[in-house]
Order: sequence, then C-alpha cells, then structure tokens
Amino acid sequence: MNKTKVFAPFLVFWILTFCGCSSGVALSQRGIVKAVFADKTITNYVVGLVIVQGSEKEAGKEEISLQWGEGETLAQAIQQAEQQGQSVVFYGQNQLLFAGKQASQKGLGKVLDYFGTEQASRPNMAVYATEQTPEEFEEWTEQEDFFQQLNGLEKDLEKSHKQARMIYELNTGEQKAEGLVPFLEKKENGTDTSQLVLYDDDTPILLLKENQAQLARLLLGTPVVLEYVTQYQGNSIGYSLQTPRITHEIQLENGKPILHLTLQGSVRGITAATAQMQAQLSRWESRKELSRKFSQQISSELQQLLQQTWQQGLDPFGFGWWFGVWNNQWYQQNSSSGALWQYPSVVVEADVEVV
Amino acid sequence: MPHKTLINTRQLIIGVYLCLVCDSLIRPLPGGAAIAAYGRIFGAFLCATVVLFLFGFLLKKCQTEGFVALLAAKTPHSKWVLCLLSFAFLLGAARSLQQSEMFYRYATGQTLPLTLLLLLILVVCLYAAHTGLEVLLRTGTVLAILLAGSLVLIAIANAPQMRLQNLQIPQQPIESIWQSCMTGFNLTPELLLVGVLGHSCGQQKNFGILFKILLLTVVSDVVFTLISELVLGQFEALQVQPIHTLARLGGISVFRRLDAVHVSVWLLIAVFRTALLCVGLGEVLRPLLPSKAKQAAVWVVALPIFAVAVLLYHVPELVQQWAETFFVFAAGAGIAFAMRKEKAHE
Repeated sequence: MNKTKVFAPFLVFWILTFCGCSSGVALSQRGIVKAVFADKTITNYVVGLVIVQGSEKEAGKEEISLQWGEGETLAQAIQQAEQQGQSVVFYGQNQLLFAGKQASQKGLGKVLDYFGTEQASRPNMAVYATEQTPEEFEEWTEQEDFFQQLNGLEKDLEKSHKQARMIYELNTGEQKAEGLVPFLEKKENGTDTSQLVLYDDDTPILLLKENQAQLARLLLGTPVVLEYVTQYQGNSIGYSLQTPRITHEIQLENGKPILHLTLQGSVRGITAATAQMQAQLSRWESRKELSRKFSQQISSELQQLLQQTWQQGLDPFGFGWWFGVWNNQWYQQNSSSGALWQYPSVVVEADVEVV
Repeated sequence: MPHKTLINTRQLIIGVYLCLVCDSLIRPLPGGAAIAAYGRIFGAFLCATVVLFLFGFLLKKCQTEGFVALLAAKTPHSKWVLCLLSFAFLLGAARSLQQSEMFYRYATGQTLPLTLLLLLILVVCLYAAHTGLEVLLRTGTVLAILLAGSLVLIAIANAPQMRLQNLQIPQQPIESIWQSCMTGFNLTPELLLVGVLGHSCGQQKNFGILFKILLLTVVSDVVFTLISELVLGQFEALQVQPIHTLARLGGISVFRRLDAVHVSVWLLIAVFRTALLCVGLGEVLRPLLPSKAKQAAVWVVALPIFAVAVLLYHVPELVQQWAETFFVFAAGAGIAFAMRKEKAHE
C-alpha cells in the first residue's frame, strides 16, 4: 500500500489537533460579560465585570456574579477583575458600559478612550454615566430583577429610536469626554435612561431631561417621538410628534451666514381630558390653531436648548460643520475669534402640522 | 514555459482586483485612518493614475513575442529579469502570508503558535496554487460575488448610523492628499501578474485590463472610505482595522455579530491572493529551475516564502511597503530595459 496514502490521514489528524479543536474553551467554562462598571478612586481605577453563567443548580437558569478589580490603570483593574473568577471571560456579548460617580464627574474621557480602542471590547457598547458608587452598583446587581433590567437596556439598543449612545459616537481620541452622554438614573422600579449629560472638556455641565433630552437626540440624528402636554381653551391636552425631522439651511443675512434649523413633523393622536374637547379638537379650525400653538411650544423648547448649548460656545450637535461646509475658512476664523457667537448665528423654529 | 492555455480576461481582472482590494480589507492601518476621507479618496485617484502611467507603457510591451521569449528564459537578459521578478513575487507572497496570519489572529483572537499558523495557511495556498491558474481564477469569481455580498451587507447594516456631519471638512487639503499618497502608495506584484499572465488573455490589451482593475479598486476604496467616515467619524482615526470595525458595528434586524461572516470571506480572499502570488512566483521561477524541479515549481517556493514571512515580522510595515514597491519597480524597469535591448539588438 502506498505509504503516503497511509501516512496522510494521520498527518492531517495530527495537524488538526493544533488548530484549537482540543484547546477550545467549553461554554460552561466561559463567563459571559454582560456589563462593565468602571469608576475611579483618588489614585486607582475600579472595574466591575457583570458575569453571566449557566446555573449549576437549575438547568436553563442563569447566575449573575460580579467580579471586582482595582489598579492604577484600567487595564490592570480589568485584569484583576478577570482573575477573580474561575471562568474565562468573554466580551463578545458585552453591550453595556456604566461609568461610576467619580469617573462620570472627571475622567470619563480616559474610560471611553480605553474601551474604544481595546480590541476585545465592542465599539457599539452603550455608555451610561451614573451617580453610583461601586458599593451602590453591587447592591443593584443583587436585586432580583437586575438581569431583566439589563435585558431591557439591551433591547433599547435594537430600537431605531434608542436612547443609548454608543462608544464610537462619543470617542474623540483626546481622552476628554465631549458631547452628550446618556445618564442612567436608578429608580425603585427600574432604570431611567432618558436624560442626557452634556460634557465639555471632560466635565459634566448640563443635565437635559424629558423633551429637552429628546430634542437633543433629534438634533444628533436619532429618530425620536416627542410627547407634550399643553393648555387649550382651559383644558389640558396631550399630543405626540411622530417622526420629527430637522432641516438645516445656511442663509446669508446682512452679509452674515445664519444656520436655520426647522423642525418639521406631523402630530397624530391628540388626547383630551373630556369627550367634548376631543370632538372639538377634530375640527379643522381647531387643528390649524393647534398646529400654530404646538409649533410655538416646540420652538420655545428648541430655543431654550440653543441658549444652553450653542450660545454658551458649545457645539454638541455639530452646527459648526454646516458653517464649515458653507465656507471653511470663514468658519475657522470666526469660531476661533468668537465672532460666530456675537450674533444669532443659529436660528431654530418648529413647523408641525396636526393631521 | 508560460501557460499556453487562454485565460479568461474577466477572470484575470477579477483575480487581480481581489488581490488589490484585499489590502484595504486586512492590512492594518496604525495611524493611517487618521487621514480624512477626502485626502484618502483624492490620494487613491492620484496613486492609481501614477500606477497606470508607470505600468501602462510597460504592459504594452508584455504582449509581444519578445516578452514571451524573455519569460521563457530564451533571451540573454532573461535570467536577471526573472530573478528580479522572483524577488518581487517572493516578497509579495510572504507579505500576503504575514498579513493573512496577522488579520486572522486579530479578528479571531486565536493563540495558535505563529509558525504553525503560517505553515497551515501556506500549505492551503500552495495547494490552491497547485490546482492551476484557471481553477484559481474561477474560484476568484466566486469570491468576488461573496465579497460583493459582504460589502452590500456592511453598507445596509451601517446605513442607519451614517451621518453627514461625520465627514471631515478639508482643513489643509494639499497636505492631507500628499500624506495619504506617501503612506498609501505602493506597487504590488499583483500588478506584474497582468504582464506575466496577460499575454495569454487573447486580444484584449493589457493596458485596458490594468485600467479596469485600477478603476474597480479605486471605486471600492472610495466606497470603503466614505462608509467608514460617515459611520465612525473621528473614531475611525483610532481604529487599526476600520472596515473590520464597521463589520462589528452593523446589524440587520435581529442579526447581530455578523463580523464572523465578513472575516471568513476576507480571509478566503487573503488566501486567494497569496495563492495567486505563489502561482506568479512559480511562473517566473520555473524557467530558472532544473528540468526535474519545473513541475513542482509551486512547492519549491514554499520554504523561501515561509522564511521571508517569518523575517518580515521584524521589519516595520512602512519599510516592507517601500521594499515591495522598490522590487516591483525594479522588476518593471528591468523588463522595460531588457525589451529595449532586445529591440536594439534586432
């Protein structure tokens, strides 16, 4: 018999044993990292890894464990946290990054920079600033419905109108947090991630809530639904603005460029407290008046947002990009000299229609 | 002797295109992605124009009987020209092997011993080369379809994340384009394949073949660059493998973590590229080998490729790039010089 034909299968089998088939890690030995908590002390970083593993006591159930690590650098802290457990940690399913109280106050940029460039972590991790200390976070993980709450946060990431912001949307590479970061507020019956924290030079300077936060998300390009309550003929009415969109246009006025932002959308489904009011709302004259009223209300909120951000010299929404596209040289000169903020260079208005 | 079988022109175009586009998919870009998209796009057009200019005239000569005789070692200048070509293809194949291993390790986190992984990939590539050029190029057509599917999937999966404001506005356009050209320009031995194999392609001019290849490559590069910057913005500058980052980001409906699908297609293309370069090396080395070794030319190159690939791990990426450019340019210049001497002799 040909020696090669006899020898070949053994050679192939031998080579296959080097391919990792025999050195693979069984699923039961893997610790799937569900979330990462990163915080700072005066000198060190503290990292908590929320690990999910199959329960040994009950089939089909999962067990949550928290592994802590501390170190001078994030890498050291993570390494120590990984060594706390018996399992081999796996980051492929990790979509949540929580920044603790101290890290959220100062040093969030370095956390974002580390996780944004670390190859093992996913670039589409959702980042949340929190006011939780490591002890408070540990208490949270001990709640019975903690796993369900994490699942709820992950489900939010799959929505088109998600409230989360991903690490790649925030990371600028300068180790300083800039822009809007979602704020996670722990409540009795769950979590609230609707609020946004505005960072400038790695320092939180403004907290946006409710519709202000939604308008900010809309300006960032995320599809949102806006819910409002207003007064009409002595009665409270609620309405929601579905699929709002913002148009940007630079117009020259008195020789100066002005960026016009117009929020457009359709209001469907206005609710009133009484049936009589509800019937009145469906009349055409009422709808025209309501369109004007709603537009004014939303314009006012947009103007307030503008006062808190652009008019303070901040640009979390990328308004400067539009000026740069119009005339980059002009924009560079006038932004560095501050002339861009010495006149109302950005004007906002809303034009919504009740259908 | 060069193959007398007629090669399908379309398959050759697709094959060389896959080799060139493979660079965009798997080559690490430490600091390279920091250049804005407009710089890289204009740089790509400029570099492609320079390559077309440099190689266009050379490749016209590669469709003459004189070139066929040169490749068959029948002219006085054949030996040193074939040696230059061999160095160029050897370095190209070794670099391709090294990049395949590095990307495989980066994308999968696999900790297999380096030399073993290199050996395994090389064996696969050499076997693919051994099946013959026609078979390899037909496989390339299938890979091109898979690549197109991969890119369409990446574009669709990342479409919701694209933002116009992520596009960087030119600050210093000339410097940016120049920097892109300096870091991105290189001549690769795949370009020489058009000359080495193109004379078997029948009536179509080599210049036309090269033009189509470069056009496809530049268009692909432009699409990659635009999608990367539209989605990642400034985050792209921190990425060693921006296209791989895009593959990790996107999802379609309930389908997440599709990066493994993309990586498998790209690695197949990397293996294809290495195999095609091994074929090229075998073609140019065959006339120089003793008659007993001619049939096994593809396997003879195994050890040199492996040795050079291991050596390349100690050489910086930029030095490798310029060394490859030098050898390819030298081989092209050698062909032009030899052809001119032959013509003068006639």
